Amino acid sequence: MSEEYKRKYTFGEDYGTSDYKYGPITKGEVPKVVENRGYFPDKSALMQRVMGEAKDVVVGRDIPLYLEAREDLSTRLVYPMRNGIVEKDDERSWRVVKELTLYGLREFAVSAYDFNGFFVVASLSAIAPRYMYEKIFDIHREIDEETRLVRAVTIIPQPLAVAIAHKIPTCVVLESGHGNTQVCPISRYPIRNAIVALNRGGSDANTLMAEILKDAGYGDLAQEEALVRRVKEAVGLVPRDLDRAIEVAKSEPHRFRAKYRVPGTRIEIDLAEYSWARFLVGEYVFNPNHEIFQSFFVRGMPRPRDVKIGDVYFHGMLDFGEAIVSSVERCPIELQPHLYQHVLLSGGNFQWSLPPQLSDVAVDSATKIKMLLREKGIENVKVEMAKEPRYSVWRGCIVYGYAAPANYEWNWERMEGWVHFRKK
Amino acid sequence: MVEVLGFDDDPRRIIGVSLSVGEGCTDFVYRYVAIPRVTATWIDSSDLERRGIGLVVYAENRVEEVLPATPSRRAIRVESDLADRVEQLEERLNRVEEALQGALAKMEELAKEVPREAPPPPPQQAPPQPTPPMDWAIRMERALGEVLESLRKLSSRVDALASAQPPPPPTQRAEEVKAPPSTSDLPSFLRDNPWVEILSKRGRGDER
Repeated sequence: MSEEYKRKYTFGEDYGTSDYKYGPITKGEVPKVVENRGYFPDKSALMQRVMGEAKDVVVGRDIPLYLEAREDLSTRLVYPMRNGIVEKDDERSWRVVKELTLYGLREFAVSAYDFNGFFVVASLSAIAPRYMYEKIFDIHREIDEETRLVRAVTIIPQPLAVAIAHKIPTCVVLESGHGNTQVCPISRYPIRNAIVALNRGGSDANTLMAEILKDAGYGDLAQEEALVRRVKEAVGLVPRDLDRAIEVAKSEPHRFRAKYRVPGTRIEIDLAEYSWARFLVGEYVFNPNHEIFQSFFVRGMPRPRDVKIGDVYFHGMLDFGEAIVSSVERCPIELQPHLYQHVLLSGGNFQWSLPPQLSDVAVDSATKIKMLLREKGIENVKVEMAKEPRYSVWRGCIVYGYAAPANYEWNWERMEGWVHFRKK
Repeated sequence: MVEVLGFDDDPRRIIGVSLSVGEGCTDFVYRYVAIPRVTATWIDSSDLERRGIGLVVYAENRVEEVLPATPSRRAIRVESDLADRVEQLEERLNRVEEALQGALAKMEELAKEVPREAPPPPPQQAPPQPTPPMDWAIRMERALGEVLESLRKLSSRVDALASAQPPPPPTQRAEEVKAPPSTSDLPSFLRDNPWVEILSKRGRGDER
């Protein structure tokens, strides 16, 4: 099998916590995106029977056409990768993963006479356990048996894909998604023994935002997770120094007033005298150890806990600066200064607005990380946000598939290489 | 080969002729029987199917293929030969392309070496002159033109052969696949990416 063929038919798959990004190399700069979720319709429902073919699981852009009662959504709508990890025996989630994978590959099924299956590069969380790798291989094997669309497959960790897409061979990637955060040093390979995982992500900031909304008199709206997330993205700020930011915001309430009008509705949320609390949300993401958060924990807000999933230990309360230092210090001493030269931030949890008129007390994510590292005695650090973070993992997958030799066979020790399903 | 039967022919004769269409003939692609709809009721289509004979039924202004014919072994062999030939031609095309690139590189080198305005030779030193580099370059240019011309011919032959290929099986919502990316067509994240070199050495055992 020629390298030329592999380059022509490389296919990338990014199983993100919220979205599934997929597509072949010919998609150019931007992949296709659908939500990483599946819906299990009630097959006995009349509408299902009327619509003809009753499907077990629906994925992709057709989901809204099948949705039924709102109260059923929590049981019927499955987000398989919400925390980056799918439990081994979670059959419904694995069913969704297979259906999504098939959906993506079929969309790009090729009718060219020389086509004989894609070289697929899938990307999983850096903390995905071995059984997830095995399961993803099995899914692709089954799909190939049914469709002949997968000639070979490999899996790479998401932080490696981010580093590849940004053309940086030596760096630390901090990937923070909905459910968790991973710190992964990379020096031409992911340094797996030095990966630090945090049991804290965008969903924890949403929980705090809901508490703030309750305090501000919007307890009813605080139940709607999607709305809470939008409010957080619109009004949340990352403070340069939390105490100072709160002090200034309280003394100048008009300048810091946080208002949000829900698009297409008459609802307006006004934090009014609680507007200073907008700084709490950003701080909590980067460092939940400030004493002010104790009052929320005491009132019943769940504290991010240390947990062990599979072989991976997830820290709950470690601040991002400490997490980076702890990860880098597990690497060879000679390498450490080079790793601090490039700290790459990726994932939706680093997307914070910074209004210019508030830049005396608010900062962006890269500056906040630099400040946290400076507190630990680490100076001269270069921190940058991943450009177009939504697509960078898929792009890394495409580069990997394009460049890694077709005869590079999968090896469980290296956790790299191609699994070939057929030679011809 | 065409055999015409009348409407008033004996039904047994019609059945016999239908089942023996093309018998003894090796040079065909498909075999079909075309009969009126009323006559079709006399024929058991499974007998035709077993023999690979197709059935076309007509009535008034309508013609319908009710049983597709199976292509002859020879036709299948021809298709397979065609695919092999396309593959061989592609290989040849690749070799010509490589040779062309080499020639172009050599041309460029040569162009650098040749002085823009060569000084005129002194009149008294006439015989015997070595071939000046410019002559060599002109000959190379001619040769290059010939290579390009044969490349164009080869390319059009490959296109013609490729278009004669049987249509591929239909695929669900298949998107158009563009031509393979040449270096200049690559997406921005692939261009000048040091990882391409790093990853291309994977598996050689010389890293890590």
